[in-house]
This record gives sequence, C-alpha cells and structure tokens, in this order.
Amino acid sequence: MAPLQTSQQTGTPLSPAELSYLHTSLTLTPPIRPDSRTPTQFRPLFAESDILPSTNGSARMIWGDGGECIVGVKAEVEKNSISSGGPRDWIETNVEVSGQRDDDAFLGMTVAESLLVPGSGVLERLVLGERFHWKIFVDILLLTPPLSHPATLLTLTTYLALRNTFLPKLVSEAAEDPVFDDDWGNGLPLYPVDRIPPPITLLVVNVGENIFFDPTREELAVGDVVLAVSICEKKVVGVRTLEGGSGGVKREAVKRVIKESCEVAEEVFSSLNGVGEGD
Amino acid sequence: MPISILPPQPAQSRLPPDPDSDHDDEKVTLNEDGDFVRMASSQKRPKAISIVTPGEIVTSDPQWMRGHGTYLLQSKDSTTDGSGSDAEMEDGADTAAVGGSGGGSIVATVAGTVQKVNKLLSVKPLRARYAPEIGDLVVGRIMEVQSKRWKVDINSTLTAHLLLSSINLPGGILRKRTSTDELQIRSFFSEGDLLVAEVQGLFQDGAASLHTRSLKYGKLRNGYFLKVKAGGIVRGKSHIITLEAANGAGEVDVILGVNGYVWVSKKVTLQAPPGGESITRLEEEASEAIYSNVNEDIAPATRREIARIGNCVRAMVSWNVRVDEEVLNAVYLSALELEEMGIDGEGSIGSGVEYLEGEVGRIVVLAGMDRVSSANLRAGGMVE
Repeated sequence: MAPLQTSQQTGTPLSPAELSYLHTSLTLTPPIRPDSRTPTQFRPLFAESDILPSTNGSARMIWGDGGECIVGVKAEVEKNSISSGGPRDWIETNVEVSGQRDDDAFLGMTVAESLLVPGSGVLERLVLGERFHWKIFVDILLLTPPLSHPATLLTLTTYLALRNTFLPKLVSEAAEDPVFDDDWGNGLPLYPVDRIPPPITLLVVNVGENIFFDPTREELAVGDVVLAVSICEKKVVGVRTLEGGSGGVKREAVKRVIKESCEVAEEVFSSLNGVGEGD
Repeated sequence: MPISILPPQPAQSRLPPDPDSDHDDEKVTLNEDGDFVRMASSQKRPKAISIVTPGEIVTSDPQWMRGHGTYLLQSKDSTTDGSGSDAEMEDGADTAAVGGSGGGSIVATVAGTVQKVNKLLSVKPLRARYAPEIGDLVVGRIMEVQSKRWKVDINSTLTAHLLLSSINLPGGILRKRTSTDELQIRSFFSEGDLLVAEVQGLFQDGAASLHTRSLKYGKLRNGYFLKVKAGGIVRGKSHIITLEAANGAGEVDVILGVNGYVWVSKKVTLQAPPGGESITRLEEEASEAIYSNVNEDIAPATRREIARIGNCVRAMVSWNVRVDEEVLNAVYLSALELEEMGIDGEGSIGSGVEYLEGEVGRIVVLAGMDRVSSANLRAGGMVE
C-alpha cells in the first residue's frame, strides 16, 4: 500500500481549484464532505485485540484508507531509583512509522503526554511494594501511515491495547522482592473497568462555521484550524493545534469543538469497548 | 452512527462479486509447493484464489511459456536442491521431464495470481503501480516544474513528463512556443495542479510523455479528485463519462484515468462557438481561460451528487467491479435508492448512508450489478 502515498510524502499541494471546491463545500450549511459523511461520522475501522502472544496487551487497527497500526504493551519489573525522573518515567512510549525517520518526536509526544493524565491513577497501579515498580513499554508501530493524520489511529489502537493489558498478580508482601501469581487468569487489568480509562485523541478540523471529526487529508488541507482533542472518560483533558491550519478560529468554535468532542468520544469509547466482545 | 469498529475479515470476503471473474480454470491446479499437478482436476480446489509469492516456483513443467511476472530458472541444480516434491515427482514418473529438457522452472517475480492463456503462464500482481501505455487517458498532478517541462505524478513508477511543446498554448493552435512561454511556465501549470492528459509516448526507461493537445484535455476544475488502486480502472471504450445526476444536480462528468486517478466534476458546457468550426473554436478556447484556477458556481445539490458518485466509484473499485458507464450508472441509481429507503425506513442506518464504505458499499454495488444484469436480460429478451 505504501507506494500509493507518494504525493502525500513529497507534500505536493492540492491545486487551487480543488482547494476552493473543498472549502466551499465544507462551509455550506449543511456541509458536504467529499465522501458524504456526516460531520461527526468516522471512517470505518477494523480492530482486533490480543494479537501478540508475547505481550501483556496488544491491539491492531486498520483504517479503510489503508492505515494500519499495531500496538504492543509490555511490562517489566524495575527497581525504584532516585536518579531517574520518578513515576513519570514508568511509562515509555515508542512510535515507529515504517519508512520514516524515527526522530520525529511529535507523534510519540501526543500519545505519551496524554497517557499521563494527572489523577488517572495508572501510576499507583504500577507500584510493586516499597522498592519495585512496573515499567510499561508501549510500542506503537504504524505499518502503513494513513492518508490523513495518524494521531487518531494511534491513540485508538493504544487505548485498545491498554484496555487489554493484564499484569500478573503480586502475591508477596510490600517489603519483599516481588513474587507473582503463576496463573495468568488471575492477572490484574492495567485499566480496570471501573477506573478512569486511558485517554484518546480525536482530530477535529474547523472550516468556517462547521467542525468535522476524523478529517481526511483533503479536509485537513482546507481547514482553518486543526485541533487534536484529548479526551479522558468524559472530560477534555487537552487541546492542541496541529500545523496545517490556514486561518484563525473563533472562541465559539473551540467551545463547540470541546462540547461535541465529548459527545462523540462517548460513542467512540463504547464501540472501542465492544471490540472483541462479539467473537 | 458516528463510528463503526468491526472485526477484521478474512481476505476472501473481498473477492469480486461480479460473475465475469473467470480465473478459476479447473484444469490447472497447483499444490502447496507451487508445483504443477496435472491430474488434480478431480481434486476440488477451494473457492479461495491461490497466490504465488516472489521466488516461488510456479511450475517446472516445460510445456509452459513464461509471461509477465515470471522468469525462467535455467540451472539444473535448482531441481536437485529444490523441494522434496520434485524428487517425488521424478521417481514417480520416470520421464524426468523436470530437469531433462533444459527448460528449467518458471519462478514468480511478483506476488499475485497465476494466469494462463493457452500455454503462456503469467503472474498477475495483486497490487501494482500503473504501467503507462500509449494512448491511455490519465489524470495527473504536477509535481515539479522545470524549464521546459513539467513532471507529472501519474501513479507510475516514474514520473511522467509533460513538455511545454505538447500543451495547447493560449492564443491559437499552431503557435510556436517562445521564450516568454518558458518564463511564465507556471502560469499554465504549477505544482499541485491537476490535469487530464493522454500518454503520447514512452521513453526508454518506461516513463511516459504526456500531451494535452486536445480540447478534452487540460487543467481540471469544478470538481473533486479521488484516488483508487491502479488496477481498479481498466482500459475501456470511453474514460470520460457524463452522468445525469439526480436531485436537480444537472450533469456530472467523471474522468476515469487509467492510472487510478479519478476526477468527478460538474459538466461545463462550452459556449456555442461563433464560427461553428472546430478550428475557430479551438482558438477561442485556447485562451488564457483554459489555465484558470477559478471554479464556476456549483450548486450544493451538484456538490452532493459529485460526492455520491465519487463514493460509488470508490465502492466499485474496492469490491472489484469494473468501472464503466453502464455499471457506474446502475450503482449510482442503487445508491440513490438506498438513501431513499434509509430515510423512509426505520432510520437505523438513517443519516450518513450516503457514505459508501464497508458493508453499505457492498450492498450498493451488488444492487447495481443486479440492475445491470436484469437490464441485459431485458435487452436480450427484446432482441429475441
């Protein structure tokens, strides 16, 4: 699939006529997206979880346009040390985009920062007694970059993988060296159902008065502003702008983005939680 | 339904629903080792297509000629250090035709399905870039502007060339290109511009040379560009299709580039030529206006139908249906029908049903195919 994306990789711009057509279509009321989706409609996703047997949790997700992402979560026992950055270093995220240089830190940052929502309680679950803690490695592999911005795909797959991550149960006392239960069936979920789930990031593009979820590459190109909205449970925990926007944004638009993101995210969470239950 | 997350499906479910896919000729069968098994016609092959991978021996039977996507492995030791099944074949049949006739074995160079035409054996790649041929109608995007030519992305392995001398220069047909034209080359096409052109010739290395010296060709405006896989559009009688769009949207032009680039746009009617003759008209048309970047007014209804037609093309290609005027029309009508039903019905699919990805697309494409075949039946009945 990779060769299909030449014009994206070389960054050839869209033609002025194309841009004007798209911009006008998207500013209409009701707007007309180039693939007839409704403003909040996502492209269909294919997802499965628990695909890698040697990880603590894994997931794979395929986007209709060919984007494919695999996430594996591994856990390791580590001794507490004062020299390191403390609990912040307990989760390590690594994003690899096939066919691209790996020094582009941005994508990894999006995911990693949003994983460490203060107060989400993950770090407390990583503590193993007094001297040890779990270290979580989240390896994200983007097999074929989608034609649009991959942030949504990455975070949704990461969400799915983390939701399916189980850590062995600790059976030793707090002061001892950690000893674990042999039975994987007794494993504890990293993110229990009743606790705050891992966050996801949705891309929202604003064109004129309208806002669109899950924008395609063309929609990103004509957007006034592109926002990456991180949502944890029912709250928006972060909004950041992405490069590529070509205009300013009104305050009301941002307000609406946040309001609608919460509603959309609820549905996204519920369908993500449904993955794997069907079979 | 804003999001749908589905379990992944096995690749077989993407098999073409069209009845005229006929690459399961029963006489020839390959076993797991990729060796040719002659008597296997009795052994029922599963419906799944078998795929060969690069380096896999397709057959060592000397009766086959190698075609595209294969090469001939000449060396004799290839049969000795080959798989055990070769040895079995040799002691099974004492003809020893495998290494004997100096033929060697035919090895696949691409991943794809084996195709046989008489005695010619070729491997059709699953996914390939577009290979230009002279006379093809292609849609391309300017990637680079050079001093006397443009480099055009046509989804091929090499970028195509469009020479300044092979476009219609403004101000009449037989005008010679001047140094002024060279200086203002970006006023004709600049980076990112879309154009429709014809492959005029091929260079030694397989790169295409394009030309736009016709009124049909040139810069694209008033529409939407979409990309499908290169094999999705097959060469046909006509690649510029005009559809009568529903809901008062007027006529919509669809340009199906053989390279898998598709342009769906509002049909722009040319003003009646004052002279009425083609030469004068060409002169008239080849003014600065043909390189303008400004769209006409396009009504929202037209925009909606353009999007719908684009979705139809995408759905047809993803379900391996040949895109031509007849089928596209039928699929488009089915898409319209489905939307009507969706609104009248329970509303469970309700909004967003115009979006034809996934299962909805399959339903629409199948309905369209039904429509075509029933129309054909009726036409056949009338002839009789």
